[in-house]
Amino acid sequence: MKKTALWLLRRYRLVVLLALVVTAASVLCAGRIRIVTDAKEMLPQDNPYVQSFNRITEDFSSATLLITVEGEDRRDMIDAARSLAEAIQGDFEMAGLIETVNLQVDREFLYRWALMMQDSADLEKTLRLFEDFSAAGFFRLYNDNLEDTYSGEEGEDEIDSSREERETAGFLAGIGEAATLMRLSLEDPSAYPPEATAGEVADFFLTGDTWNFDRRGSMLVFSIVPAFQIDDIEETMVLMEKLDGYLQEAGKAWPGLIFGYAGDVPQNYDEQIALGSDAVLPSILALLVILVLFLFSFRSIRVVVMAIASLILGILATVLVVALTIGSLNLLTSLFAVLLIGLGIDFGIHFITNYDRFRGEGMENPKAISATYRSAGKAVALGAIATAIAFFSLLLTGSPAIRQFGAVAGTGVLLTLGSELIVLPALILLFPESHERKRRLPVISYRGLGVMGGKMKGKGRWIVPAIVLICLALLVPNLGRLGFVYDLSELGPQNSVSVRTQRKIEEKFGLSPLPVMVSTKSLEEARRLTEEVKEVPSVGAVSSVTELIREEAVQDKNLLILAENRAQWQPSVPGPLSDTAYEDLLYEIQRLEWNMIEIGDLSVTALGEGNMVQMQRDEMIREVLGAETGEPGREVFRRLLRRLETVEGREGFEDFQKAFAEELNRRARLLLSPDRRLTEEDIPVELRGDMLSADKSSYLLVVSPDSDSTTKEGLHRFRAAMEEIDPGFTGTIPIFVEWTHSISSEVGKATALIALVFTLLMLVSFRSIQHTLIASACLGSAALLMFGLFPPLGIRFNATNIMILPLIFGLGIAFQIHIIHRFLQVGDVETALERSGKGVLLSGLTTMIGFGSLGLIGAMKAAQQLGLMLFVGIGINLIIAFTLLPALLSWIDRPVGEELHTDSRKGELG
Amino acid sequence: MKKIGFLVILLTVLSGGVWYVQADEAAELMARIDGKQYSENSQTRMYMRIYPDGRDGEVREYRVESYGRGETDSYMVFLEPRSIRGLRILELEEDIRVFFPSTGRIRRITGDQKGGSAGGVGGDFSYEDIGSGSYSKDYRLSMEGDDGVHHIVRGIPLDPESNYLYLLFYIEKKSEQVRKVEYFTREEGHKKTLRLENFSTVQGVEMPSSMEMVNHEDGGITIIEIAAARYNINIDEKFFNPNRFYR
Repeated sequence: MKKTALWLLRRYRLVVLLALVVTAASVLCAGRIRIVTDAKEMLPQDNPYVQSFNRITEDFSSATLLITVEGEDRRDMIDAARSLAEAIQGDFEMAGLIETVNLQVDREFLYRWALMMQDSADLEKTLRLFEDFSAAGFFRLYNDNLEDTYSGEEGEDEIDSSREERETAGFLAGIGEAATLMRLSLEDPSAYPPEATAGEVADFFLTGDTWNFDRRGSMLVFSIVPAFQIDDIEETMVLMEKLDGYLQEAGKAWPGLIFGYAGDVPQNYDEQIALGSDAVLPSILALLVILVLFLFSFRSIRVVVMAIASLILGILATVLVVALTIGSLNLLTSLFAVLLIGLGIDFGIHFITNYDRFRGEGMENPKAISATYRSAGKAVALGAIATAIAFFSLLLTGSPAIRQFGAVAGTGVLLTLGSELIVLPALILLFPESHERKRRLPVISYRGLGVMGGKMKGKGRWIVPAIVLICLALLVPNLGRLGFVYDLSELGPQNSVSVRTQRKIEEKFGLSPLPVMVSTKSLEEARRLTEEVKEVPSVGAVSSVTELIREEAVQDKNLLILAENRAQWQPSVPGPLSDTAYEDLLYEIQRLEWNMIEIGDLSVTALGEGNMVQMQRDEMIREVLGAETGEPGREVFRRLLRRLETVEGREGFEDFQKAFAEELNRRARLLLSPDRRLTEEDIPVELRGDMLSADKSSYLLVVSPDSDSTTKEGLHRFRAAMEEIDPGFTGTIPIFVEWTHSISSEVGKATALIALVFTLLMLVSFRSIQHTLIASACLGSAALLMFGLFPPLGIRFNATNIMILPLIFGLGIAFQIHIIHRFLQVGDVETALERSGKGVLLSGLTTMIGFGSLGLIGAMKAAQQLGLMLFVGIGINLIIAFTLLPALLSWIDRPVGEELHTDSRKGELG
Repeated sequence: MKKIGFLVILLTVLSGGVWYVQADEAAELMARIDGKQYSENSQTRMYMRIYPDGRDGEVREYRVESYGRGETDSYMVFLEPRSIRGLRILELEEDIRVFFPSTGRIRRITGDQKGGSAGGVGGDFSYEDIGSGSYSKDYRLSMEGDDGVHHIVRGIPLDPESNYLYLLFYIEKKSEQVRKVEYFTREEGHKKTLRLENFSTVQGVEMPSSMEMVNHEDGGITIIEIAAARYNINIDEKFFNPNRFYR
C-alpha cells in the first residue's frame, strides 16, 4: 500500500488522463452490448431442452405472437380484427417479419373436410342432422344427438381434463351465441338479416365458431406467425414497434374496444424496454440519494463527488470490458450497474471516511492520502478481492448465465476497487481543497454508534441475544412458507401490455399462452403423442396435424359412409310453419335449454363447483341450485322463446327458417362432398406451417397448459407429464423451469464456496477461531431472520434474486470483519463501533439504497424482488452487526469495565 | 360432449357380498374380514373431498346420502354442493338413471366399464377399486409376508378385465382389519395407495369410516368419510323403483 501511495503521488495526472480515455471508450462501446432475455441462451447448449428447441426452430417458427380484441359487441370485434389484420398484412415493412396472420379458421377448408376429421361414429351422428332441415326437425335431431352423447348407449367418457372442460364450455357458448343471434334476427331483421344470420347460426350448430372467442364472447384472439426466431431481438423490436403503432391506431378507430398482445415475442419486447429502464432510472435515483447522504456525512462535498465520479468510472470500465469481451448481458448481469453502485461505493466510503478524519486532524492532502492507504487500504482491498473471488468462483458452476454473472460481477468489483483506490486519490490530488474553505452544510456525527456499542457492554449483552432469540422463534416457522416463482410472466414487467394481456388470456380462456412443443419425424409418432397428451388433465389445448388428418382406415370408412349418404341425400325444403311444427319448435328450444342445464349439472359431478362449464351455463342461462334458481343469467333460450311466442316473432321465423334451411343445405352439400382422403396438401398453408415443416419431414405438436399450470406445483406436474410422454417436449416453460432448477442447485454450491472463502478470510484476518465463530453465529442469525421475513413481506425466490443470496451473505460477513477487526485493534466494543461504525453503516445504507431503488421503481418484477430482497437482507445484517455482534463480543472477549488503553492513532495507522 | 362418471360405485362398498372360504391361510384371513363387513343393505351419509392436484391444490367437496341393496343396486342423492342438491342416481344392475332436479327430467345413462375410472365424482377411486363386494371372491390370494404389525396379502384379480396386475393388502394382525391397500399395474407399477382408518362396528358390520386414496401417478388424493351408517335395515322400496326414486 505504501508503494502504491508513493507511485500515485507522482503519477496522479496520468491516472486521471487514463480514466478519461476509459470513459470515452466505454461510452463509444456501450451501444454494442446486446441484452439477452431468452432463458434458452442461458442454459448449456447440450441441455436436452435446448437441443430439442434448436431442432424445432430449424423447421418451425418458435415465436408466438397473439393479438387480442376485447369488447362487448361480437361484430365490432370481428370487424376490428379483420381491419387490423389487413393493415398488418398490407404493411411493406412488416412483410419480411411476418410469415402469416391466422385470423380465423379457414371456413372453406373446414366445410370441405370437417366430416373427414371426425371418427366414424361421430360422423354417423352428424349425418343424422341432415335428415330434416326444418327448424323444429333440425333442433329435434340436434337434441337427440346431444342426449345420446352425454348419456345413453353412445355416451362418451367423463370430462376429466382441462381441454375437455374448455371445449365443453366453448360448445355451450356457441349454442348460446346461436340462440342469441336467432333472437336478434327476429327482433331486428334489418340489423341482423335472416339470410346472413341464418348462415352464422348454421355454423355454430355444424362446425362451431370459426373465430377464436373466449367462452363469454368478450375477447377475440388471433395469431401472427413471425418469420424470425424468438432470440432475434432486433427483428422483435422492429416488428413490435410497428405493431404497437397499429394497435394504437385501432384503439382510436374503435374506442369501445381494447387491443392487446401476448406471447413470447411481445414479452421479449416489453422486457427489453423494462430492462433498459431498470439499468438507468434506479441507478440515477440511487446515486442521488447516496449523494445526499454523503453530503451530510462528510466534511468535504468535493471529495464525495469525486468518490461517486470514481464509482461511475469503475462501472463504465466494466461496461467497456463487457462490450469488448462477452458482448451481451443477460437477465442477471444486466443489473450489474446497480450491483456495483451498492458494492463499489463501499470502497470509496471506507477511503473517504478515513481521509476525512485525517484531514480533520490537520493533515495535508498527500499525507492524508498516505495515511488513509495505510489505515484502510489493506482491509478494503482484502475485502474487495475476497468478494471478487466469491463472484469468480461462480465460474466453476455449470450454468452459462451464472458463469457470466460471476465474471461480470467479479470484474466489476475489481475495477470499482481500482477506481476508488487509484482514481479517487488522483482526483483529490488534482483538485485539492483548501483548509480555509468554510462548509455550510451540517455534518452528521456518528458518535451515537459508539454509545450504542457501549450499551452492549452492560445489560445489552443479555437483552440483545434474548431479543434475537425471540425474533428467531417467531420468524423461523415462516421458513416452511418460502416460495419459488416458476411463472415466467411473474418476473417480467407487471404493468406491461404483454403480461396484462397474458393474465387476461389465462383468465378468459383458461389457457397459458406459453405452450410446449415437440417435433416428430412421422405422422404415426405425432398421432401417438397427440393421443397421449390429450389424456393429461392439465392440458388446455393441443395443436397437431393428426387432429386434422385421421388414420387412413378411419378416412376410408368415412369415405364409404359419405358416399352412401351423398347418394341418398336430398336437399331439405321446409314448408310453412304449421301450428304443430311451431309447437314442436318451441318444445325443442326448451329441450335445448334443459340439455344445457343438465350438462352443467353433470360437469359439477365430475369437476366440482366453479368449473368453466357450470359457469358458462349459469352466465348464459341462470344460476342453477338443484331445483331452485340463484342469480339471473342472460336467459338466452327464454328470451328467444319469448320472442317466438309473439305474433311478430312467429311471422319473422318463417323467413328465418327458409334462410336457415338454405344455409344448411348449402353446407351439407359441401360437408358431404369429400371423395378422397384428406392429405397434408389440403391443409391451408397458414395452418400447415404451424404443424408441418416446409420439407414435410417434421411434424410439430404444440401443447398449451391450462391456466392452473403456472403455479409451482402445476408447472412441475405439467412438465413431468409431458416429459413422461416424450422427453423432447420443450418451449419457454420447460426451459425456464430448467433454468430455475439449474440456478437454484448451483446457488447452493456457490453459497458454500463463498462461505468457505470468507471463513478462510476471517480465520486469516482474525487469527482466532472464537471470533470466526462469533461472526458465523451473527451471520447465521441474520440469514434465518431474513428468510423468516421473506414470506410475510411477499418475497419469493426466483431465478434472478436467488443469485443475489451469496452477495447478501458476503456483505454480512464484510460488516462483521470490519467491526471485529477494529475491535481486535482497539480492544473495546464502544471504540470499535465509534471508529468503524460510520464506514459500515454508510456502506450498508448505500447498498440498501442502491438496491432499494430497484425495489421501489424497478419495472421488471424480477428486479423489484431482487431489490427488496437485498434491502431486507442487508438491513438485517446491518442491524445484527450493530447489536448482536457487539453484544456477543462483550460477552466473550472483554468483561465489563475492562478496557484496553491503546494509542488510538497507533491503532489507526498500525 | 362427454358423459360424466358417477359415484354409484361408492355405494357398493357398503352393500352386501358373498364370500368363499378358501383353503389357504390368506384366503381364510380375507374371508374372515369379508364376514365382518357383510351386510344385506345399508344407509350411509358420506363426505367426499377430492384434491385433484394434491392437498395444496383446489378441493372439490361432495356430501351424499346413499342406500345400498345386495351387490348391485344402489341409490344416492347429492346434498352438497348446492348447485346439484337433490340430484339422484339410481343404479339397478348397471342400468343407471339420473334425476335432475334442475329440469325435472330423468336420463338413463349406461354404466361405465369396470376398468374405467370413476374420474368424475369418484375422484381417485375407480369403479373397480371399491366396486367389489368381497376380497375373498374377487382375488387369488397368497401370503406375501409381514412387516411386524401387518400381514401382507397379495391379491391377483380374478377378473381378466381388471386394471391391476396385483394388489397388496396390509392387514393389521391384532384387529384383522385391512388398513392399507397398494394397487399395482403392469405399466405404472405402484399406482395408488388406499388407507382405511377409524374402524367401527355398527349393527354387526365392521367398516372404516375414513378412506384416503392417493394416486401416485398424478398426485391426486380423494378422501371419503362416512358420517353415519346403518346396516341391515328396512329400506323404503321406492328408492329402488325407477318410477318413484326421484319423488
